[in-house]
Amino acid sequence: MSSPETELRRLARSLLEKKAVDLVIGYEKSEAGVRPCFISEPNEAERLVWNPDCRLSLVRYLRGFKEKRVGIIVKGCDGRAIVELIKENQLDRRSTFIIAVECNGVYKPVKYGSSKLGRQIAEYCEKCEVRISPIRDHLIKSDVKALERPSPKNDGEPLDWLSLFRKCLRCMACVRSCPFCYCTECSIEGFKPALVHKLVDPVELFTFHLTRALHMAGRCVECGACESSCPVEIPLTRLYHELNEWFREKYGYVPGVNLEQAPPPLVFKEGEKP
Amino acid sequence: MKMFSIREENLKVFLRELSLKHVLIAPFKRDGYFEFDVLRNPDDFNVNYTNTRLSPKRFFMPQRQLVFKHYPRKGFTEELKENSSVVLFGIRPCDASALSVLDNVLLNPPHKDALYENRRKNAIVVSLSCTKPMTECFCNVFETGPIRGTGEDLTFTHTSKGFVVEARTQKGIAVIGEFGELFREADGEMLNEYNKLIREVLDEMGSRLKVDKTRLIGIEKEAGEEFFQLNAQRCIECSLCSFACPLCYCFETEDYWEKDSYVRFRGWDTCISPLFTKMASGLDPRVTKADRLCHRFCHKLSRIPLTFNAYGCVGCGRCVSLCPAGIDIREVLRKWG
Amino acid sequence: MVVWKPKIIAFTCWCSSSGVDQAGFEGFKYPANVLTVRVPCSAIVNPSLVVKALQEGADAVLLTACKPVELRKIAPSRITEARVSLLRRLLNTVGVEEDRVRILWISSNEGGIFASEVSRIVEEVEKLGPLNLRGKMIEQP
Repeated sequence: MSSPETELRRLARSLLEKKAVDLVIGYEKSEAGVRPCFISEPNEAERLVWNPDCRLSLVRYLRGFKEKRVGIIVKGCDGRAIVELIKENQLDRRSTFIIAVECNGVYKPVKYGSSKLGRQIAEYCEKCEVRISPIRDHLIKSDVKALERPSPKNDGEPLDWLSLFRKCLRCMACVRSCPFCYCTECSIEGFKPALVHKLVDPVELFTFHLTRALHMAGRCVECGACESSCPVEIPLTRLYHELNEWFREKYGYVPGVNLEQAPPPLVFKEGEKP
Repeated sequence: MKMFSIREENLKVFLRELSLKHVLIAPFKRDGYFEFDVLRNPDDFNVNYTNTRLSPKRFFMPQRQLVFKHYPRKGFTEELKENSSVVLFGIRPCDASALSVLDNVLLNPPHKDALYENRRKNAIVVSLSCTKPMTECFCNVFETGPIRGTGEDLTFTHTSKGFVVEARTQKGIAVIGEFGELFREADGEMLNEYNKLIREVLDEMGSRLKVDKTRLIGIEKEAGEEFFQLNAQRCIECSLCSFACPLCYCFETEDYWEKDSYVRFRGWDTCISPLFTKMASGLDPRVTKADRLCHRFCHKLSRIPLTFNAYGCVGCGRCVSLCPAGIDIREVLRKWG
Repeated sequence: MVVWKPKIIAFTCWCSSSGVDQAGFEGFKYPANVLTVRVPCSAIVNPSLVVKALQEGADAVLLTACKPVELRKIAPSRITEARVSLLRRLLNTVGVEEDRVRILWISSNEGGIFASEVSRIVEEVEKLGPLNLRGKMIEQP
């Protein structure tokens, strides 16, 4: 059996040759690891790679190619993001060819000045239950056994969120890398009226992060794009997970798993008591 | 300049003495990575640290700082506080060189930056040489390291028999004079090892990236080139690269009304942001992401050298490692250098 | 010594704000630390504004809304209730006492109930102590 990487390349090449898609969004090798790439020529398909370093969600790039037919490589969480985006009318299912790759978890990035060495599976991947995208046109199975997942640490140990927020630089990397932050003007970046000033007063970081968390509640698919791109490693996924739990307890709603189930804030059932 | 040496066990004593007289800022480990902060306990300092996640520029240009207050009846008050003397210990040569470039840019008359000057003049910069450069680093290209930078007052180099200390400025010599009993003149054996170390590290780095930096000047003529288009597709327009860069000095001001006065703050801004060049009329001279990305690279590698006679990049590799989309300045260097 | 008094922002909806007026007309006494902001409906209060109020120095935020049973349409109260519940969960997670955001069901003729409930809430917030978010966020270790 061929490795997922060769299968991926073969598929991308045939899609581009048949002109089924204009463009394939995938990952390619770079000097520092892996980065997104946009392939429009069949010959270039050889550049595609697939490994546990492919952590940035590619779904956020889809909004840049609304006019084109795009093939996109998705992990389980990214597939969930696509489902949510379709529900929010942000994506045309017909013009997107979804190549689902079975994901066994991604590695935490080893960033500049990190004192820890060695690869470690990301925290959010330990909790993940959806390893294959729920929506797909083609499935590529993984040939390796799942990365060793350490048993999830007890969620009980609370984090000191205020001191974590204090470290924030407000670089907006969390917003920009998120598949769901498709607003053309971000409410926490807007000028007038400014909820959070551009030159942020440290105390405004509280509003910044809480507002973002409220906007992500019930939508976040815990792909970890925000967390892995954060320069000061604020575990944002854990915060959003907490709010998703609230949605699950109250409405039994898990974002991105079922295309038919409408997001609870959008539905009103007659006779429903608050 | 003169070479001194200090024994390893004396370093802690030196740090303790320094922290009594000055505000001592040094890197230590916090939450899994190294960060500059006020060092209270000299034992926290680790000689074998790699580099700090964020650059030390925030001690000279904070992310948000007060420029002035205006009271409706009293008039303007400039809140230029005289800062206490700060020692930045253990900064890497690349970051120290970044400070010297910033000095070139911000302290050149007639456009002196008073806020920066106020913080800079009270600071003593002590660097610690990189003997094991990280994989992202390319400071050899701009000659800003790995052993000696350009902006430091003292350079410490770790050898097997202690630290070789090079005093680079009068300020540095004064510090050595202050703690004379801890330092000795470096002996020949140590200097031999030091010279050998310089050669070894430079050889190791030189094999990674060989670039003729003078050829970079004028690359803005290539603007609109396919390369930037390709990378722009990838760029997610976060401002991480500029915020982590030890050299990005663009700022923005914002005025607002506090309890009894108008205040003006100033803080970091970034040319990657689409709002950076957007004017009130709605005109935007740099509309596309490719334009902005090209501007960022060309400014660093071509326009700063033309104007200020120093390169706008010191090769610390922060942007390379932190960029979520994997945009790599080394590719620009390879392509045009 | 300055005695600390809690500062409470109350977003009162059209109907319950007339309940607040009622409390005034009928001469009920309630603590003066409650500042009311009249809004058309409790369901338009963006939770970000509640967070912003806490950030700007409020010790607690109160939303007064119409009783769901009295409404012809049930949706607005349901939305407010869900939002406040979500926000309380979020505040709890980040380490701010969740009782600092509350919801109060007040009809337009319940001035007395408003006065007594508010006095009780002020007492409870006094027990929680000042929020002092600015101090917590800016304080350096």
